[in-house]
Amino acid sequence: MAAPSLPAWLALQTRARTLRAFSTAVSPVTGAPRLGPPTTERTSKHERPPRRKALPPRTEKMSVDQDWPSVYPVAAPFKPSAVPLPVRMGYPVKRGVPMAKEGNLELLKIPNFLHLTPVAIKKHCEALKDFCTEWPAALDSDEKCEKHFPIEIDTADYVSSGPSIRNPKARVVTLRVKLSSLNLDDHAKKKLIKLVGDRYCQSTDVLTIKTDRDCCFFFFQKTEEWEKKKTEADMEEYVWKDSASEKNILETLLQIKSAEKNPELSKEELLSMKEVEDYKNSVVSLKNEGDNENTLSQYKESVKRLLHLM
Amino acid sequence: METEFRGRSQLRGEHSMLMVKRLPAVWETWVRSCFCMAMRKGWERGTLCNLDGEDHAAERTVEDVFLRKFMLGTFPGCLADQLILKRWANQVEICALVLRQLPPHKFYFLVGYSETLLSHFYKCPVRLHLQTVPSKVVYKYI
Repeated sequence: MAAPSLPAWLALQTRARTLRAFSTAVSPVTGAPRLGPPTTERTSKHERPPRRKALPPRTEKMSVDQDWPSVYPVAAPFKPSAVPLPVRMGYPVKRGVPMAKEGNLELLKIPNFLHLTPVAIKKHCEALKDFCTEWPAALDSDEKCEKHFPIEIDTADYVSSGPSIRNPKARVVTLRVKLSSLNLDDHAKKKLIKLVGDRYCQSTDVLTIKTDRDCCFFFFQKTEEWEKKKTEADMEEYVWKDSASEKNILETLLQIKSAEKNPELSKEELLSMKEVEDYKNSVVSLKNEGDNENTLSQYKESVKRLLHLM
Repeated sequence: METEFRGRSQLRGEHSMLMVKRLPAVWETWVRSCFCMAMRKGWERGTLCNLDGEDHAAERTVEDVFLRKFMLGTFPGCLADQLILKRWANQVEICALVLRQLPPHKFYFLVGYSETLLSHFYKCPVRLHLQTVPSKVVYKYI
C-alpha cells in the first residue's frame, strides 16, 4: 500500500508507520485479512494541516486479467472500491438515474455472488477432486441400486440464523423399503400390512416409517394369539375355502342331488367337479377385483354351467 | 418552521410537502409510501428467523436492536446511514457506511474492539464491514 508522493511526507512519517502496522494486522475473530475500504481512502482530522488526500480506489489499479478469486475469495458484502464495475442501483428521483455504487445501501443489502465466478468454481472443484472417489461401475442402473441397497434412510439437518445448532425437526428419520425385497411369506406380509396400515403404499409397494430418531423393527414371522381370532370380515383377500359362498353352493348341490335320489356324491367329490371349480374362481375374482364386465360375465357362465347339473 | 397540520399523506407515513424547511434525506429515511417496501427499497435486516416454522425470532430481533444502538454509540457522529445487518448461518455481518470523521487508526481500533466484544457477547462470529464516504449521500431534498 505505497502512498503516492505527498507534500510534507517527512512530517507524516511516524503516523504512516503506525498506519501500516494496523493495516496489515489480521483480526483474530475473522482470521482473514481485510480487503477494500477503509484502507484505501483516508483523510486526517480537519484541524491538523496539511490534510491528506483520500487515496484513489483500488479499482483504478486493477488490471483486466487479474485473478478475481483473490479479490473476492469468500462471500463478502459489496465493496465499491474493489469492484471495478459501474453498477447503479436504486429507485431514481424524477428525471434522474439510479444512485451510483459509492455509498449505496441497496447494493449492500442484497446478497452478491462475486465470489462464485466460473473460474472460482473450477478452482474449488479441482481442490475437492482429491477427496472424492469414483462411483462404483457395477451400479449403473436404478434397479441394481435397489437390488443391492433396498433400504433407504432419510435424515435432515437444518441450518438457521443464530448461534444454536439444535432444531427439533432434525430428529425425524424416514425409512423406506420395498416389501418385495424383504423375504416375507404370505402370512407375514399380510400381518405386516395390517399392522402398518397407512404407511404402506399399495401402488408402489413401498413401506415408509417415519419416526423420531429410534426406529423399531417388527418380527413378523411369529404367529400371535390374537391372529387366530381372524374372522371373515378381517380378511384382505377373499378366500373361497370355508366361506359362506362355498357352504351355500354345497348345500344347494346336495339338496339337488338328494331330490334326484342320487346321494353318492360327497363334499370332496362335489368340490372337485370342474363346474364348481369354475364357480369358485369366478366368485373369487368378483370379490377381489370388484365388479367389471369380465368378472360378471364369468360368474354368469359358471352359474349357468353349474345349474345345468340338475 | 414546521406546520402542525397533518395532512392525509403524513398520516399514511409519507413526507408532507407542507414543511418549509428543505431537508436532505438519505436513502434510508426516504419512503414515499408503504408500496415502496420490497418494490423500490429493500430491508436493512437479512435473517431467516422470521420465516414460517423457524424459531428464535425474538432473540434475533433483540440482538439487532442492541447492535444498532451499540454501533450508534461506538462510532459517534460517524454513521452516515442505517446499518445493514446480515446473518450467515451463525455469523453476524454488520455493514456500515461511515463518514471520515476519525483518523484511520482510530477506526481500526473501534472495529477490532466492537468485533471482539460482540463476538464474546453473542458467542458467534461478528464481522464488521465499513465503507467510508466523504459526506452523507443525499438521495433527495424533501
